[in-house]
Amino acid sequence: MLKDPASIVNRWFPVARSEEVITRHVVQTQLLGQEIAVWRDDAGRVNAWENRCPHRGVRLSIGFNTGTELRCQYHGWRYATGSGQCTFIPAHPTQKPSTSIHTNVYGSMEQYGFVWVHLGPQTPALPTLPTLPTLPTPATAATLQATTLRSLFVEAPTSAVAQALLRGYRFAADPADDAGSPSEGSLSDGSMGEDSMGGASVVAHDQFMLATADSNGRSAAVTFLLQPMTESQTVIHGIAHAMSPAVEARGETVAVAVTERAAKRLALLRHHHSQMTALRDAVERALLAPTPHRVEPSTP
Amino acid sequence: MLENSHIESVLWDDWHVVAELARLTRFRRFVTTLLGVSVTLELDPTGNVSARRGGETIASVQIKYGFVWMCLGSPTRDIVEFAECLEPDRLLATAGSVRVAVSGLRAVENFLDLSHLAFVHAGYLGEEPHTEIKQYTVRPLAEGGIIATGCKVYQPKASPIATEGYDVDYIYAVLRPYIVVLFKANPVELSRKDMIALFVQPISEESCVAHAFTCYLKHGIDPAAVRSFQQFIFGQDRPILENQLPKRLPLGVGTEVPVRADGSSAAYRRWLSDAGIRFGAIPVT
Repeated sequence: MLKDPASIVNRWFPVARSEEVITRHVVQTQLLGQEIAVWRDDAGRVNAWENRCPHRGVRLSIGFNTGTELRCQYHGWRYATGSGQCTFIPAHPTQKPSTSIHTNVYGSMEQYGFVWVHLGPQTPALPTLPTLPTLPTPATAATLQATTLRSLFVEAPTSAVAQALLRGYRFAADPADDAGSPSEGSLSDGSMGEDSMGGASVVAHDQFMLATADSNGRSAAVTFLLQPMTESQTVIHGIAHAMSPAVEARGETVAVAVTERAAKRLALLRHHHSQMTALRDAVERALLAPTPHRVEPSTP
Repeated sequence: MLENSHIESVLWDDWHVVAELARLTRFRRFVTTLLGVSVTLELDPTGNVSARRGGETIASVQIKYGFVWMCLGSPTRDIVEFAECLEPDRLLATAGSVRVAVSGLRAVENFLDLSHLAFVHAGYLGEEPHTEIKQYTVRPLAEGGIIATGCKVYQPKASPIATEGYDVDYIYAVLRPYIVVLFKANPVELSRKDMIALFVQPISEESCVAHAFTCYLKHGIDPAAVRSFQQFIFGQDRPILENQLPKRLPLGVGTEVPVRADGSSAAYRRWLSDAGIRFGAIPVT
């Protein structure tokens, strides 16, 4: 999958969930083998920089997020949000740093609850962000509620993860109905996708984006976004769209509806997490399994 | 003399520290690595240290400054000498050996570095807002290496016996590619200098053991305090060093951006490059 980096470098990849890029924090992540420091300034703007101070190569992810600048731990050099321009070198406090000193800034944006990064050249004609195939249409938007799933790290190439998802990721349209017995039972035989609660097969949108919907008329849907960290490591990000209990509230008080919504959200997260954990275990186990080698008949 | 297929003679035929003598216990073997070569040290009941690689005996082994030194090839020069060590009112002490997952050349460069003191060792060897690095002089040493003189740093607690902050005069010298020493004014006898040396043992190109050796003026100093102070300070450097990318030291221009305060680092890299050092470095292409 990473054999032709030139062709895949020129696209957007999710590198972190927006909710984990919190105030005054720096997130360390990786895309196509490149370490990235992701941080949010106090105005809410997200930066994605090569995780390396241009001065001596120390990881910027161990630096300080001051709210407007990132300060390197080693010598206190500061870099401005947005441009990555070095603004202050404490060893020479009265001199303005040369404009040639700046971090390596990648294109970044936030959409669908994720931070997206573009490693290619920062030309004006950036590729457009892919449209999520399961995003609710205006007609269904009122009834479907988006929930960001917990991202899962898998020690396997992105191609292997995509294949496993395609082979049959199954989920329940309404796991809250089955909250008492999560689906471990159906996975105990080690196979994936034999979920008694039914489901639908996964359709690949492209090699890094896969979508699925449940069989009964798209009352629930999941989109997976794959982040190729390195040639052998992948993060599965996911967004679930499920029926919003709010619209089903049948005259109960608002408080009851809110409680029910929270319970359903939790059940949904648990359900998908157990499914994805099983999928990860199966993928990693398959890679660890010894490859059978052919025994040549010995010639006397 | 061991067979050497690829490591430059300037390192292979020189002396390196491989262990603090106190680490060796009688009748027990100590296994370590030098320049990628696994070696086994043994202390016999008479106090002699012998070394082997596999079944081969390594002839060039010496004990000096409380450390075991080794040359894998045929030594072309002696172990570094320090005149200060001969002065009677000095306390010579080993001050800890720290394994660091980075090239030993990065560790030497960090030891030379003035402008990190106010950040990495804040409250001890430097402090904001005293971050400015004033002009200092760097020149080559006749016998190889570089020396930086006229370095001044404000230090809140410059030594184990310092009680208040003051501007400290420093001299730094790189004597061998993996050996660096500093001299700093003693807090009591301002005209004399305490000495701290770092003997870096290159394990692989991307890992090392930094062996610290101190030669302080005796008054008020006890070895345990020296060790404790140096290990505390080095414990602050280690996480920084282990977060440097790449792990080897780039010698060409362009990968990393120096400023005037980095004069000694720039001179060190140039000298390494001119001396043909490749082990632990990313040479100029």
